[in-house]
Order: sequence, then structure tokens, then C-alpha cells
Amino acid sequence: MQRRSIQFILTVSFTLFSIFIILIVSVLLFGRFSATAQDNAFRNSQQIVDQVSYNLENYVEVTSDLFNMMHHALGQSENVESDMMRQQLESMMSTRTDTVSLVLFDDKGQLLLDLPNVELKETLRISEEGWFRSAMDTAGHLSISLPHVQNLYKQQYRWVVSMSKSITVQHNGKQVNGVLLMDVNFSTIDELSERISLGKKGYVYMLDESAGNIVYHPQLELIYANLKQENVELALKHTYGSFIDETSEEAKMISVQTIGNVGWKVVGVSYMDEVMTTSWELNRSMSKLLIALVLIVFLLSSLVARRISRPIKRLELSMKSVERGDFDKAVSDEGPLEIKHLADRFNTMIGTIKQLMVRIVSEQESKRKYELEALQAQINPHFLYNTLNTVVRMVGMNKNEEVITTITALSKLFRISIGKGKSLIAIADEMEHARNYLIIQQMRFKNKFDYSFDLQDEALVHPTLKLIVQPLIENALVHGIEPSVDKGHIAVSVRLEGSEIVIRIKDDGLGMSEKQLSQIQAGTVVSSKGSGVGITNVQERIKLYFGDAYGLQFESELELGTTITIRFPALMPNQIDGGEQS
Amino acid sequence: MAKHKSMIISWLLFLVAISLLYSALYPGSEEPQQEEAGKTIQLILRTSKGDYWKNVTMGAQAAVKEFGITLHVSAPADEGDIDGQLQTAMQSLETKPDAIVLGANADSAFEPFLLEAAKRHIPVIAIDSLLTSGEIASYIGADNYLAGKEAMREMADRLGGKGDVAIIAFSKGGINGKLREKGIRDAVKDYPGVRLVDGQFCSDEYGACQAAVRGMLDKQKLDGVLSLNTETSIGAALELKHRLAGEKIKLVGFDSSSELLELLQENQLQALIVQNPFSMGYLSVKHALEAASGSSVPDQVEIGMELITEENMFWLKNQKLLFPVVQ
Repeated sequence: MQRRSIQFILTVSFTLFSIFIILIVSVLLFGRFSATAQDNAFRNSQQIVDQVSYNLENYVEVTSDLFNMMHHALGQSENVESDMMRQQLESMMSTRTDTVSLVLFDDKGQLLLDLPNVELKETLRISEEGWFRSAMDTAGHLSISLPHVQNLYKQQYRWVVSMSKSITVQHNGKQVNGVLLMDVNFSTIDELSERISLGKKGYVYMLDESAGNIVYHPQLELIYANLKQENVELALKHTYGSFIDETSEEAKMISVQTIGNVGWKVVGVSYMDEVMTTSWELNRSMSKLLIALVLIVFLLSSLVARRISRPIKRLELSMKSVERGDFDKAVSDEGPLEIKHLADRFNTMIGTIKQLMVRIVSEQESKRKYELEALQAQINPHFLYNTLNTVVRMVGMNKNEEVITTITALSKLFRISIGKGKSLIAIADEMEHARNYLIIQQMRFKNKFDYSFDLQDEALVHPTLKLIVQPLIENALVHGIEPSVDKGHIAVSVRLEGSEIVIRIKDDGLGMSEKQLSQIQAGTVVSSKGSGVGITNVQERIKLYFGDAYGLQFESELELGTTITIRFPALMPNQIDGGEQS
Repeated sequence: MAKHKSMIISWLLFLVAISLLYSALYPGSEEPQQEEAGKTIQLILRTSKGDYWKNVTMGAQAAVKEFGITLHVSAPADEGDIDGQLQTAMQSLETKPDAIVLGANADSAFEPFLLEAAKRHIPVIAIDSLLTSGEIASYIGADNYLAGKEAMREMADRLGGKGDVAIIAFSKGGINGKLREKGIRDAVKDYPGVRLVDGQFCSDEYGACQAAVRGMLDKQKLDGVLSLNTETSIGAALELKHRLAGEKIKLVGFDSSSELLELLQENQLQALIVQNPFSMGYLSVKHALEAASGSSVPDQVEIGMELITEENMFWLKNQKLLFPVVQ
């Protein structure tokens, strides 16, 4: 898998997360809003239709009241053709400007009274008119006709709604049955309906409930010419409510309300695309908003991600320069707190590394120096010269036996001290070296001292630094045994104490004063005699190799002798090979 | 370099986001207009006079409301005013309407207009009278030839298939009058008992038509008269009324007016063949709009005609046709 940058991960995950949230919120909001918008549209349309219905119902009621008043007045009248009656009716009619005419016919269709008094058409057949028949058929019941063209007066074709009711009146002293007709101008209703706006395209139409005829429609001509259809069935099925009509190519919302007193229905038609405009507008706005938000979130999150990742990248660059070996340039700690911490830690680390490097360099240098010295010790010509002198003397005295012993010891000594260039050798070998040295020295200083080895077998396999025992023995011979008058003794012991190797070199020579002792311990005494590999050299090598916890310990008392204890950890025997130094 | 590029892209995205935000918060400011809304249709009528053209205009207005467009109406005062109408039509081209609905008073005279309109890619819808002198998007109107035949058939029925019939035609009737007359003349052949014995023209004053009818009646005995438009019908009916010859001499006319309907009720004339101008006005605007938006429009839309008699004039479906204006 390809690894992505923090910047990429942050940007993408922030953006995705935000899109997710925004989407959920907008879907929820939009759903809610659409539902509300539709509810509102339903309510608005229904309210308008209800208002129209209410107005109409009210209008019809008021008009019916007027009609009934006149009906009552005529029924009570002694003579319907009296001038007083006419005046009374005229004043009643004048209360309403939209009453076109009031006409009274007898049951044969003969005119008894008409207001206004305008010439009727000659061709009229009153008894065939719809309003006349319905009034005669349902006696005592007020019939309200559909809007129609008035067919009464010459040269007048007005759209009216007819109210008719059977009546019994006194005419010329006789009781006459007849029909009272009042025509009300339809223009009031027409204007009322025309003015209704249901959006830009919406309109209101009216239905006759009983026959399903369209009573009023702004485009009635088109409907009769079959250029336009109206879903009358849906409107007829319901007495009240708003519905969505999807039968036509354009979805419409229709609101129905029934006018009780005339048996009409007011149907409001709104076009869904108009009704839901706000909803679509919102939809558009929301999607724009969404895209804008996503873009902004994307920009912001990439900005944030860059801010976070830039210091990291800078840190990385600085680290790269360290990688190339440039330890002197400090990493800049600009950026957030975490980055500052990281940079500080890194800088500290670089500092430590630098210190360590300096130390290692100096340690390496001193190690080399001591090793060089140790190497020099291996071929100390003075010691060789003394030994060879001794051998020559022995040869002169014909002590062949001793010559052999001395030369053998010398050769062994050299073999071990040259070794294979290793700095670690087994303790056994080191002891062998020490023993050979003592053998040679004993040959030189006959009966001046003797020696003993107390070696613990387990300790012998462990490695030790090369040439640490011999210098100490040399030291004991030169400073302890040689100046002493008595015959001396040197005891060498090796012990494994826990995880440490303890080597003791004990002599019973002169011993040291406390001042000498402290000087030796401080390492300030440099001996010019002997093999040249002094105590200090041994001490420093041990400390360099094994650490400051190890090294030499001195115990000494004047006239009683000195004991030097070497301590160092017991390494595994296999390190003899691995301990090789370049 | 790459850093520069990404900076520029970031700023661009930021600007896009800001503009989107702005348009989302103020949607009204750059709302694109609806496809059809905002279109302008020029309606040129044959004359400003008469209910017929008033109804055409009402139909057009209904379409205006439904489609949310702008409509300009112009009309010469007189159907005979060919030059004036042509001039109006040419001028209307200058206003760059999206389509023109034209009820032309003449056919060949409008050739330059149609050429000019075609050059400007303004579709022309002919209404009422067909234009053959140039390219039109559609013709919307009645089949006047068929109407003529129908008038003759009605006349023959009323005469019982036998009698002498005269035609009184409108002198400036244009192609419609000619087609109606042709229909009548062709239909006569189906009725061996019926003869066309006379034909007269009169101007747009019904008085003149009445005089023309009087002249025909004075000249010969007639059993029926076919009058080809409103004025001729009124003139003929009034002359028959004057002579107390109503119903004895059958009269079948064209078009309607309140006078004519009154005369129909008085039985001075027996039948009227009536067009549906409201539908014509409505459909003309509807199709003009379609033509303007480049969709295909039928070459010809036929508007039906109704035969109106005294019996059916108050039928629900005819009332609105005959009395379109609620007053």
C-alpha cells in the first residue's frame, strides 16, 4: 500500500467528514422544508378557495335574503300591480346594484310585474325556461340557476344567475299562482373569480355539483372547444380538501370547497411548478451552498493540514542535513507546541550525540596511545638486555640447565606478549605470562625472592586485558622486593567472585607510605624504571575497557608489603576472539 | 513553481466558493428567466372592430396569462386597409418580436412582409385567413371552404332541397369570403333542386348590404339567401324583416353579433355558422410560442365551427361562444 502524507489524509478526511455532515443536514432540512412547503401551498390554496367559497356563499345568502324579502312583500301585497308595491320593490332592488331584473309571471307564463319596465322579447316562451320550470316543479323552494345568458329583454344578452320561486299573489282581486324571478348579474362572481390569483398561472373554476358542468372557468371556450381539459372527476369526488392531480402533463394542485346553498364547488387550480418554486429555489440555493461549503472546508482543511505538516516537513529536511553529517545546524522550532518539543528533543539529542562523539574520539585517542605503549612494553629492550645479560652470564658459568629455563621462559613470554595482536587473552595465558616473567626475574635475582600462584580453575577461562599482571609484578619487584634486604615473596591469586574476576598481587616488600599510596592512587607517579608500562597505564586501560567502576586497588603498609587488587567483570570466554581491536 | 500553482488554484476555488455562497444567499439577483417567459409575441388583427376580433384578443390574452409572455396587439381600423396593415406589420418587425401572429387582410400584398420576416427568422403564424404568398409557420383558422359547404347543406335542408338561392358577399372578404363562396358553389352541385341565381358584393356597412339585398330581391324571387359575414347577414336579415319576409325567405349567415342573435331569435334568419375566435387567439399564441422556441408546429390547425340556430343558442356550450364577455 502506498503511504499517504499527513496533509493528504487530513485534507481528505476533513473534507469527506464535512461533506457527510453537510449532506445529512441538507437532506434532512430539504425534506422538512419540502414537506412544509407543500403543506403551506396546500393551506394557501385551500385558504383562497375557502375565501372565495365563503364570499360566494355569503353573496348568495344576502341575495337570497333580498329575494325572500321581495317575495314576502309581494305575497303580502293586496295588489301586486299597485304603484306603491312597485315603489317598494324598486327601493329594495336599489339596495343592490347587481340585481338586473325582478319579474313576476303567472303560472301560464304571463307577465304580471317587471322591474325595470323594459320591453320583453316577443319570441319568449316563458314556460319553457329552465328557471320557470324548476320553480314550478319544486313549489316553495328557491331555485338558483347556473350562470346563463338572460333571455328576456330585447337587445340584451347579459350573463345572470336566476333566482326563482313559486309565489301566490293577489292580482286584480284574485289569487294567482306564479313564479317570481330575480336575475342577478354574474359579473360580480365573474370578477371575484377572475381576480383570484393562485400563482401566475393558477386560476379558480366552479363546478355544478349535480351535473358536473363547469359553471365558471376563465377559459370556458377552450374547454368547450376541447382544447383544454379539466379533471372534473377528482373535484367532484371530494367535497373539501386539496389534492395533487397528476393526470395532466403538468402536475397541478387542486383545492376544493363546496358552496352549500347553491350546490356549486369552487375549485382552485395551481401549477405545482409554481407552488413549489420556493422549494426548488431553496434546492438550488442549498446545492450551491453545499458546493461552496465543501470548497471552503476543502480549502480550510488543506490549509490546516499544511500548517500541521509543514513544520514536520521542515524538521525532516533539517534531520536530513544531520543525516548527511552536519551536526552543527540546529533544527528550527517554529510551529505548534508539539513540533517545538520534537525539535527541542531532536536538538538535545544532536547535542548529546555531539558530546558523545567528542568523548569517543578522545577515548579512542588515549586507548590508542596506551596500546601503543603496551606494544612498546612488549619489546622493551632494557628488559631484553638484562635478561640476555643474565643468560650470557649463565652460559659463562656453564649453567646450561638454567640457560634453557631462562630462554624457554623468555620465548614463552614473548609468545604471549606478542599474542596474535589481541588485546584480550585468557587469564590462564596472562598467568603463564606472569609466571614466565617471574621465572626470568628469579634467574636474575637468585634467592632474592620466591613466588606462588593461587589460581582458581573456574576463573582461568575468562578473558582479561593483556599485560596487566606483569607490570604490577614488575612494580612489586622493583619497588618492594629489590630494595628490601630480606628475601621476598610474591603471591599471585585469581578468584572469580560473583561476576567479577579478582586478581591479587601481593608482596611482602618495603611497602609504601600513605603519601606514596595516595600518589599512586591519584595516578601522578610516573615510573621511569622497569618495563615502562606503569601502574597508571594498567589502571587506565582497565577503566577504559571495562568502565570506571573497575580498576586497581592498593593496600600497603610500610615494612609489611603491598597488595594490588585488580577487579574487572568476568567476560565470556568467547570474547577473547571478538575482543580484537582494529 | 508547483507551490505557486496550488496557491492560484486555492484562490480560484475560494472565489468560486464565495460567488456560489453569494448566489445561494441572494438567489433573485441572477435567476435565469424561464424558457418561454419574457418572449414577445406581436398580434396583428385584421381590424379593431367587432366582437370576433375582440374574442381573438381575449383568447390570446388567456394564453399570455398561461405562458407568462408579453403580447403586443395592433390592428387597422378597417378590414379593407391593406396598406395600413402591411405598414403596421413591417413596423412590428423592427421591434424584434419572437413571433408574429397575423390575421392578414390580403394575401399577395404581404409577400414582402413574409420575405422580410423569414430573413429575420421571425416565425409568422397566419390566423383567420390563409397566407399563400410566402413562408408561414402555421395557419390557424376555420376551414372556410367546408363552412361554405355546410352553409349550403343547411340552406338546402331548410328549403327542402328546392329553391333559388342568392349569395351576398363582403367585397373585402379576402380569401375567406372566396373560400366560403367556393364551398357554397361546390355544394350546390349536390342539390339538383337548388339553384344559385344571384351573387352580390357589399361594403362593410350593413346599410349598403341591406340595399344590395333589396336590389336582389327586387330583381327576382328568392327562396334563400346566404350571407357570408356579419355585416351582410345583418343587412340581409334587416331587409327580410323590413319586407316581413323572415322565415319565408331562408337566411343562413356567418359569424355572430348580438344584433344577429336577436334577429336569429326573431327568426329573421335561421342559422349562423360561427367560429371560435377565442380558441383561435389562444392557439395562435400557443403555437407562435412553440415556433419561436424552435419546436415543430403543425402546418395547419383547424378551428371548428358551430352551426347556431335559435334552438341551440342558449345551450351551455354555445352560450360562452356566442356571449363571451360577461357584462
